[in-house]
Amino acid sequence: MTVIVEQSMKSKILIIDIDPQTIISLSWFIAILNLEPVVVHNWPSNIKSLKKEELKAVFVDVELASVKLDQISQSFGKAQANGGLLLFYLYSRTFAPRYQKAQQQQSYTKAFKKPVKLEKVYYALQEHIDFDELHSFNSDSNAKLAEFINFSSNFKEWLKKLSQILQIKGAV
Amino acid sequence: MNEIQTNLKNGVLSLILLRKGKLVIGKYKGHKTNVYELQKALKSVGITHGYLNNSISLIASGTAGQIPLAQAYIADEPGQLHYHFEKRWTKMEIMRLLQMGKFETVDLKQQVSKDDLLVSLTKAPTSILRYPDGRKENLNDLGISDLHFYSGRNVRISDKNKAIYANLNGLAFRDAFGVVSVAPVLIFKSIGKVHGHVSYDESLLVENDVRSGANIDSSANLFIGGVARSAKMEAAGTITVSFGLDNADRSELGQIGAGQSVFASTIRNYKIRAGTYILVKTTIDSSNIQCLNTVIAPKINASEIRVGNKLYAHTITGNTRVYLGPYFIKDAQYNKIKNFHAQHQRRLIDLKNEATILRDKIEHGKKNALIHLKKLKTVSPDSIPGDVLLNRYYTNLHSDLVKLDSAINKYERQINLISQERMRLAYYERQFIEDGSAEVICTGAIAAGTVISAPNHTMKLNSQRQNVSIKLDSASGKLELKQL
Repeated sequence: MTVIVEQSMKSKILIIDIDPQTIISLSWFIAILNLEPVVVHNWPSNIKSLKKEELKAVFVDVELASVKLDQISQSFGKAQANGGLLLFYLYSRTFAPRYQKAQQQQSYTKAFKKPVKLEKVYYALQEHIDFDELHSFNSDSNAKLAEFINFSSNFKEWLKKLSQILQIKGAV
Repeated sequence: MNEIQTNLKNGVLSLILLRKGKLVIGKYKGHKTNVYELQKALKSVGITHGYLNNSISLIASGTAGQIPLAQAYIADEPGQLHYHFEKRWTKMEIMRLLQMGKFETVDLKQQVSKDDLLVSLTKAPTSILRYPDGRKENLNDLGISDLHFYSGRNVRISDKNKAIYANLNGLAFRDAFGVVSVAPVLIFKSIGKVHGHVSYDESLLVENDVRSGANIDSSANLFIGGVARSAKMEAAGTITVSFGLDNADRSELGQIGAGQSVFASTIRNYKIRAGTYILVKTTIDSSNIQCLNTVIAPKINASEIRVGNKLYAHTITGNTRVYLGPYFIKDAQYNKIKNFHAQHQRRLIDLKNEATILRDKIEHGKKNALIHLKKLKTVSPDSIPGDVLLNRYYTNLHSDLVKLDSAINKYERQINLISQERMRLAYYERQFIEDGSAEVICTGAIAAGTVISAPNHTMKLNSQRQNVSIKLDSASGKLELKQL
């Protein structure tokens, strides 16, 4: 039985790549982990429309011609240095000049050689992200209900005190 | 992390288990394969549940690289109920009945007296986490251990919520979603077209025939002492027709729907839909049958049978076509509940958002009120009781609190409604998996030309076979023919 999940609550994982195999493999895997994959094929302006604070991780193919290493640093370097964002490099050849350069210039969380091994991605993400465990309908909704009821009863007490200060009779 | 490899016809499937076995990722290396072969391979290494069918199709279509193939999921288990008022047949009993062709000894009326025990709960409804390898982990968080999901009209729950009793003398029945009720009996001599649409909440007993053109609707059981001609009949419980259903006119009116079961001596040219059983004493002829659970008939001729679980017959002839398994069951009522359920889930999210917005608004108002109060305390403490702005804050916050309480109530009611729907849907779906896989069991001859359809396989018999079982492999959707 399917439970509708509130999409807006999911953390986003950005994938910047043009290789279909990597995109399919990574995006399907990320979706299964209850995160939201966002795939872009090149660097330009559509990255600007993303809210950086919603991003948990970025997978970027450093060998893509459209990807400029200084732009990566500009866009995500600060968040990555603060530990708020995971930056993963994807590459095909260990001796590719762009990957070599990226290794020297940038700080990044980890690099994955293509074809990407999902188990390695899983362990790399697991170190930093607390994956939402599978939740059942009842435990989730009952917990939320208890939270609301608790808030309401605490607030009633507070409002009662306010009514006493204001000398309102028969309030709450 | 566990790694498993399995060989397929044209390649190798490598699997890795992550998240303590809750997630299975796989990679296929080799030449062309298909979904069924991949599913069979997964099954052969013990991965039997939570298939991600889109991923499997993707690999079958030639996508290289690793893809998630199966994942753990949460399911509801509707609990184990024992219905004391109705007869459940074992396979042995059905086989014996088929050989003898006699069902007279079976009490089909389900007559109960006031305070009779109707249902007892042998296992409480629970939520389970089902692993891809079939393991179950009880979550036990449903917060319910009673029978209120299954209690209908004129019954009461007692024995610490573990049993349902009758509140009056009458006939007991349960619908396709497991809800048990008792209804008194209304007696008619016979019913025909002249009576118009006959619709009652009570059980109806028609002593003689139901004539052509009759239209009968009962929210309980329906018993017909004679023959039912070309008539339209609906009952939430059981429909019993002592001398059979005969739609000699081949009229479109010749159709019946029963939430529980249908019992008849013969069925001819009828369209029938039933929940638990369709039990026929002699022959189903030229009819269109759909049953969620089990069809039992000594002889089936030139008919179309859709059955979710088991079909027992002695002889099958006349190019009969059997659609085997839950895939082929089309039930408007089930679809309706499923659609409502999806809508109710969306509504729950809306209600949660509504309560969250009100809570945030209250918090914001409270903060402002406190700032103002602090200011008043330092500037002029005596003016606090009469301060207009503070009084306004109080009024607004009080009104928001009333709204919040109302939103919480609605949210709670919606949770209960959804829990109930989930249980009922789980109960309905379980009927397909009772007693193992879907199967056609023919103790006599099954004629050449008979067609058995499964989701991924159609089997047409080219020659007559004797004593056979045709079983549906639920993982691959294929059929397997075996000698009994």
